[in-house]
Amino acid sequence: MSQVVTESKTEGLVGNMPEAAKPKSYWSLVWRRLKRNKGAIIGAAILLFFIIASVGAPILSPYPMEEMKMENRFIAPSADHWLGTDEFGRDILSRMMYGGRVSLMMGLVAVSIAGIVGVFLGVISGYYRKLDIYIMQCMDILLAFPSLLLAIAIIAVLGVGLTNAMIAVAISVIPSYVRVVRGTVLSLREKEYIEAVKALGVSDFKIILKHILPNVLSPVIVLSTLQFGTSILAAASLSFLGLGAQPPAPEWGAMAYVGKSFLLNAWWMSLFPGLAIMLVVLGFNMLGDGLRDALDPRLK
Amino acid sequence: MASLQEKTIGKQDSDVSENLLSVKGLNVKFKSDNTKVTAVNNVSFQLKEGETVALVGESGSGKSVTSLSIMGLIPKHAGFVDGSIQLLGQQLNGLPAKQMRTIRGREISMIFQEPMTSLNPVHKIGDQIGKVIRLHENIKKEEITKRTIEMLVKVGIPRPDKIIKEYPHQLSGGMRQRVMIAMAMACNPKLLIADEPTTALDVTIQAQILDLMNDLKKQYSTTILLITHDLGVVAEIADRVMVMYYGQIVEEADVYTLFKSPKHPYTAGLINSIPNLEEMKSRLDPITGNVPNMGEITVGCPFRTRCNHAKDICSVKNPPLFKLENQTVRCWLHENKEVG
Amino acid sequence: MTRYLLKRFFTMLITLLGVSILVFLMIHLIPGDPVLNILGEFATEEAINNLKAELGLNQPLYMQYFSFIGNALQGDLGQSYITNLYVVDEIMNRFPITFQLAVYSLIIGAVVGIIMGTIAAVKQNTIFDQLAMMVSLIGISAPGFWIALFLIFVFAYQLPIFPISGYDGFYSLILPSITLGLATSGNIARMTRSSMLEVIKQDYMRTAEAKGVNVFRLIFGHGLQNALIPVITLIGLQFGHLLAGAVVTETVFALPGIGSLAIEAIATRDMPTIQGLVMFMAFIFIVVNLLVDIIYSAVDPRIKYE
Repeated sequence: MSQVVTESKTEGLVGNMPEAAKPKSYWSLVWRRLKRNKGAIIGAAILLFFIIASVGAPILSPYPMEEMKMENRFIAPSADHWLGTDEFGRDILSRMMYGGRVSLMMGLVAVSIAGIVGVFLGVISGYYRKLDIYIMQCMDILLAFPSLLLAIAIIAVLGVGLTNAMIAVAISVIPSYVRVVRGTVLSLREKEYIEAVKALGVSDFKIILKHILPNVLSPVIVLSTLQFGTSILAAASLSFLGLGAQPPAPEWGAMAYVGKSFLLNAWWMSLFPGLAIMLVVLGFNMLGDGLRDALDPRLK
Repeated sequence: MASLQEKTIGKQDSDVSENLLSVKGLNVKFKSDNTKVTAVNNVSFQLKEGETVALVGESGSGKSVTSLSIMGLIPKHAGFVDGSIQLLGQQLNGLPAKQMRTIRGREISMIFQEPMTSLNPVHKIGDQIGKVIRLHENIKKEEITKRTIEMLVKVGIPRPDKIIKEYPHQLSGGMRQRVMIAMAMACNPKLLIADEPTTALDVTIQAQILDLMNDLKKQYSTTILLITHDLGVVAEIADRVMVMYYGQIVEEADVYTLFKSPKHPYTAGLINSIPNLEEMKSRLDPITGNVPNMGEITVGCPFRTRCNHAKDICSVKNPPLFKLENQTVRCWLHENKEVG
Repeated sequence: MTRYLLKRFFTMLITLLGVSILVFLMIHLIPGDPVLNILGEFATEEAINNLKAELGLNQPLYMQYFSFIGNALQGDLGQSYITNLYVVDEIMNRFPITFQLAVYSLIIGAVVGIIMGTIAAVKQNTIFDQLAMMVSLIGISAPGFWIALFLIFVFAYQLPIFPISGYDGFYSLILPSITLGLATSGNIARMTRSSMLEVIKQDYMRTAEAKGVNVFRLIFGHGLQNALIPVITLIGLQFGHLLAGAVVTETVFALPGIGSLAIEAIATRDMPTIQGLVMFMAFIFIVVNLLVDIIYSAVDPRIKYE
């Protein structure tokens, strides 16, 4: 009984608070806006489809990934093999389902590395103005390379391979995080409440943790969603160039690379993996656009 | 006050001249989510040739929407314009877009509130004025430049031959508004609609711009429809005043009558809220509250929520326009004072 | 203006210096000995030392850097470990193809993108808008190699209109240019649309309409020039990405440009070539961005460089 009373009391309090002071209702507002955005829902559905297909690959795939049957070589898409078979008679669909794990993992790792490093550098750069010039000069140097070129140059140094491709992509994405986070922090620094908290003698670390980072969250979520797609695209392109995942690994870019040689007689070998990449990237872009509109309606 | 008297006399003379613009039963609705919201509600008025009429109201009263519908500038996909708008007997609304364009800028032109943003930042001043002339008159390039410079001289811009090669951002707000006026007057239009032409300017510049408009009006005998919320501007320039509230005209009178004996409580409130040096009032009497949002009030007189004289009937029935001796007014207080 | 340009030029030099140090360090911190790479694992001590001296690899790192920069400023980026050709010559031989490819793709991308973006903005929230935005989103999301393979499959195999691969004049650049152009048009269309939507709301558009300007002239004469100001920066950035994107496209279409040169050099671990190429592309990218800034000031009279 007493519990009911407390609950209604809190509700009354929250009801009187200004809109911005209610973090819970902010996110539920964002969620409501997102739900109304057709593009975001389609994007999320595409991603869900690919995530289920690749995570559930061991259970869901119609054939074992590496099963080779020479008598089944180059079968066109059919009822038995929905997306056809390759030069060793392996089922393309099954390989693609496993390949999805590699592609999604590459995106996840690249975005995580770039996100952590980028947010760290961006906060430092925006908050400690003395370090700003140096960090931004370094970012300018990184930005002087078109991102794919930077990734290729890094691979030239680190050597060819899946891990190196992920690191290369991550490094080439860092500057975009630094710029976005720095911009947000710079505008926050000017806000009165940050000044006020500073005047109270709160440590920089606490200010950053409690007041800066939560505000950086929205732009970072949007950027990460969009960069997730971009990273998958870049990693797949590297694999296609023979610089990332190496055949016979079932990575989509590498599969397309192998399929390129058989384009005339077995188009499905390269076109379907490429289509999968496009759809996943499309999904991330649509979801990212929707998130941006939902988190910051002013931009629309 | 003497000047006001003269204006009134002048107005009586021009009573004989025919109507330049005649608006009958104008209704403008906007789409909002799934419903239509009325912004202008059954507005009718006439403008006679050569007179200056002020359309007065707070923001949201529908005065700007009225002017934009005369110009045919209400976007088709957003708003619905109903009723009749006639310029010298020619029906304007419903006119094909192509024909309407030959009227805009030539027969009717318009100046806007924000001189800072109303000029295209990437085009030169001379080109922007010359454009109006080129659009509507078939004359040579040198001739256009000559006319442009003439116009700039007329609106009092120094060094016009230099200014035509400059960009808007190089000019001050007052200068830009002069350029806007030059642009609007370039083809000697019959009707000039001025939507809050001085609101964004400093007080001293305001007076200069109003003087300029008065001069030009005398010189060209252009009819001016002045859209404003500022009764000071009205007193300075208008012959006749129409007061709008919540999408309707609530009072109409010549400027002298209106200031001397406002009949609608809203008009009276507006006039009372002007600071007056002569009377040295210790405090002003502003009207309390705000203009209700469109669609908020569906029955009765829309002003009753802010009116000190509201009667029972006010919340039941929206008053019609009652015709008094020198003015018309939309208020139940004057129901029985109507003249034949 | 001149002061701004000088300042801009100066920062460009600093960035270039940083780029050169970065590239130099990257190449020289590589695990594995380039000398062994060249001579093979069974080379004699003497041969190794001779080659090291010849390549200047026995000097301290900063001396190597200074001689690298000194030579680079004189137009010498060293010699390929593999072919012994001068890297500069190799780049200059192959750059025209990449340059043409980038220019054609940029033209396709800009024209298609600006038209799509403008239509989408003018017809906002109609089927045209949705269609244009869907197409541009696909252009952004599709891997370049996939578009390339698809175009080859349809327009070189199924309908043998264009050559499958190799360079044989303008004709063989059409499919590659479309490939790169499509991806570019997506970005440009999206930027044009949002910029145009912003411009349509501006007061000066209403002024122009009040003058009696017709809709077509209103959009293209008054609106587009304003709307394109932010798009120009994007087009400049895209040029750099086209150079990088050319790596993929040139590989698929077997075009002998600098993109495919980079892939060959990585495959053979030909460090001088990689170093020279990366320096060269970054240089072009930086210079193009400076040019874009200058064009910017010509289009937008409001910008006064201080």
